[in-house]
Amino acid sequence: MIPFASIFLALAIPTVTGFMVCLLFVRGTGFIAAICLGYGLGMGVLSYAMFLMGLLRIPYSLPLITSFLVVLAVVSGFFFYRKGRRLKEFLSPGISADERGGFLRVLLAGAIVIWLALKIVFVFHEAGLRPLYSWDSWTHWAAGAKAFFYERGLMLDYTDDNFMAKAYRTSLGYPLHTPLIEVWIAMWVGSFHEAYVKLFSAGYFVSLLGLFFTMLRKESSWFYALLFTFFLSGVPLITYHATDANAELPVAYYAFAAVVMFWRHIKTDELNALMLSGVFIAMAVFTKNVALVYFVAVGIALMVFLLVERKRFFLPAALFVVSFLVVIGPWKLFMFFNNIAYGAKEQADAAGGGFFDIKLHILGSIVREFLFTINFNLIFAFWFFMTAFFFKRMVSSEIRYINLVVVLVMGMLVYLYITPLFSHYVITRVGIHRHALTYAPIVLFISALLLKDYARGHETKKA
Amino acid sequence: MRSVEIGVFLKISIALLLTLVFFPEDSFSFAREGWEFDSINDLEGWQTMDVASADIGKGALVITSAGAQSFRIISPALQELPAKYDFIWLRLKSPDGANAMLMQRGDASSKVFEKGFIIKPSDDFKDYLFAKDEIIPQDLKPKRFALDFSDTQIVSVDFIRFASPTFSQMLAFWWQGFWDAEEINMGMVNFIDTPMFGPVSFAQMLYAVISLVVFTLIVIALLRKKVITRDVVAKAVLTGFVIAGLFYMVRMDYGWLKIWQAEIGRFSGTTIEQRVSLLYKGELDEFFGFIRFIKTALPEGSKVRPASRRADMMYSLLARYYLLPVKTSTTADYIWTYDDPEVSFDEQRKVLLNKGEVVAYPARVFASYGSKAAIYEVVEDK
Repeated sequence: MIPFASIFLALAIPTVTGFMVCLLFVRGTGFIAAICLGYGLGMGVLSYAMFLMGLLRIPYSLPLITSFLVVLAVVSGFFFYRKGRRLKEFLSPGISADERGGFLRVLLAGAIVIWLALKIVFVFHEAGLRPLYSWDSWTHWAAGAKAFFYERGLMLDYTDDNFMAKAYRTSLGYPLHTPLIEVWIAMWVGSFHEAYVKLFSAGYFVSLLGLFFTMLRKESSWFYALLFTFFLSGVPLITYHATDANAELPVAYYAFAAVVMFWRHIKTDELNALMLSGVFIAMAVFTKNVALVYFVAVGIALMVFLLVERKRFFLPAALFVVSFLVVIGPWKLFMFFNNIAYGAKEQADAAGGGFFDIKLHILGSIVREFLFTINFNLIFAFWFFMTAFFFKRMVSSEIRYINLVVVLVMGMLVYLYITPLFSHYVITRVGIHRHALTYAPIVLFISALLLKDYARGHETKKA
Repeated sequence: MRSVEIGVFLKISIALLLTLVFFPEDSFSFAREGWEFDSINDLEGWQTMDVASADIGKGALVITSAGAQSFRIISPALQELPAKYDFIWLRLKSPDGANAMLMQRGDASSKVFEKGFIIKPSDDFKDYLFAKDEIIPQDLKPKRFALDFSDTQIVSVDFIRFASPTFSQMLAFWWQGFWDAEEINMGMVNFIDTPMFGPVSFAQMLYAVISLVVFTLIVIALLRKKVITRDVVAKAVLTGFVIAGLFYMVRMDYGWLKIWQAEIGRFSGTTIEQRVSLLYKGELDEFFGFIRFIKTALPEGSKVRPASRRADMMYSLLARYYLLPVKTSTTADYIWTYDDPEVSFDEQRKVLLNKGEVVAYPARVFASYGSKAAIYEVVEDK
């Protein structure tokens, strides 16, 4: 008997908490966006609370953690109303673009919605059906999660040879977000169910699509946003990861959420949006170490934005950095004081060669993987075309700042690929596409913005 | 983009698709010789290796393994082959899938030429085409060939034919192969295999679609307006991307639909333990049985460790995970070993050894599980 209620509550409670916390940060996002932001925010708050509980040696108990989330939700709601805000104002979606649509458009939209609904049913069903399978999902994340589940804590006994579940984890330096979410779900289900603990990935899949749709909807018509969301849903690597329990899809969600919050700041000057951006990047880093490249990329893009647009510099930059550090700080300090290295360090040491030992011949393999494999539909080829063909339009619009984020992220990763540190990720095809998964939604979003910008300019010219 | 242009393009595309889609299923009716395996006579001259049974049933040769790592069927000596053939055409199926090898030999003294391939798990027969020149040099006439199968218990062979398809018939075969859905595999977390249309990858097909759309729309624009503007090119390329993107969605989501079907068929109505067993095709059932045995045999609160020191051993990693809540610890007094010829126990000296190195001393056999697994206990030295 599938414990539907338990699984629903395991996913819904953090979402509601995240939704209520989101109320304090941003206005006018719309209900769907707020729920989608709430899912990621709530899951991040949950895993962090469990991490802090573990540090304080408080045994994991379902009533305790649930109470914390409920109290946080109630307190957030209290502050929301105390500020005199109204839910209606918060949920008003803002300016919408062209709404024209004939019968054919409605018919197509209906077909797309049914297609999307089937895809969502598929990922939830498959995630709940097939047991943990891919090597990394159980060696990197689930094995440690299972140990934490049975121990009801982080196993921080320094005298034990199994400190932090050392015998079960590939590296102690791998962050704890994914394992702790699995522990949470296992506690609700009552056992470490090999399939149900993966359902959080399906939640990230739906939230990513929902966030993508709503953020693009603010810039364009509902049909346009739906069409691009449809294309994003068809990325097979994202679909597979939605049925498994790896870290890349949560990182893709958090990276996208961080970038759209940065985009929101660019458009509206909202400082809260910038703070949320820092928080989401911190949550991405608490999910996978490689997400640090997003902190660097968004940070640089933010600096460039503030300098070029001659905005006040110190406060936004400080808020972004502080938001990031406040969330990720405890984990990094814990790593520092316990002499825990990054997981990739051991691999890099084994690779031989250094940071400046460049192997340019790998560039050909990188280009082939991006343009001549079908892991991401034609997202990258489309983006290359859009940024090249509409280069002048892109550099003269605000889109250049979020495009800079992607260019920097890709640049940093590509540089690492052409050194011995990460070259095996390309040669063995083990990591390059998983890294690309984390920025593919951002790439498609940028392309959609550029296309909309072009179409809008075209309509203006016609008028 | 104007609806008339869309209409023209759609009509051309549909016409092209129809010529590819509607080929008769059995397009290689020209095939000259081979074995149809419809009657027992078709088995005359065939030899087998490590095969428990090879019978004709429902118009196919059904071969079951005798339990060895692989099993093989070997053709009779090929006295007379068709004068001209370009392909060896196999129609096979295996419910759990299999690794297969097509082997050809020129004569008793010449080298064996091999071509490995994968039989995807399926209850339906699938076609496998091998170019003659792909396997054996042109100047060498094959005298005998064999099919070797591994990682499976049963394979059915519908027929083996020598074929010389026309180009359009090859296109039909490639089109059918293009729609073969992938099964979920361990590599999928890193990348998705690109579907192939014969020698052409799906990515190349998509770029070809974009190029065709761009060419068509530019020609239409030229005929109408007699001038190509940047705007016309942009619209043409964007339309190409949308159409190629939709084609991509149809193919890849069709693949997910087939996977969903297969997954429901495989896992529905099973417990989670049964599903874990099915994941590994039943090959680890004995090992999982040993894991359950360890959990029940040990005193509560005990810890264990593997006798093998290689932390990357598959069994060690799986055991650590599936033994929980029984913990693994380097200081555990209970030591397990499973199917590891490098581990030995000296009864007289009460020493547990791994490649000659002491794992535990003094130790005793705590419990045995069949002939290849056991739990040892470190005892106090009195």
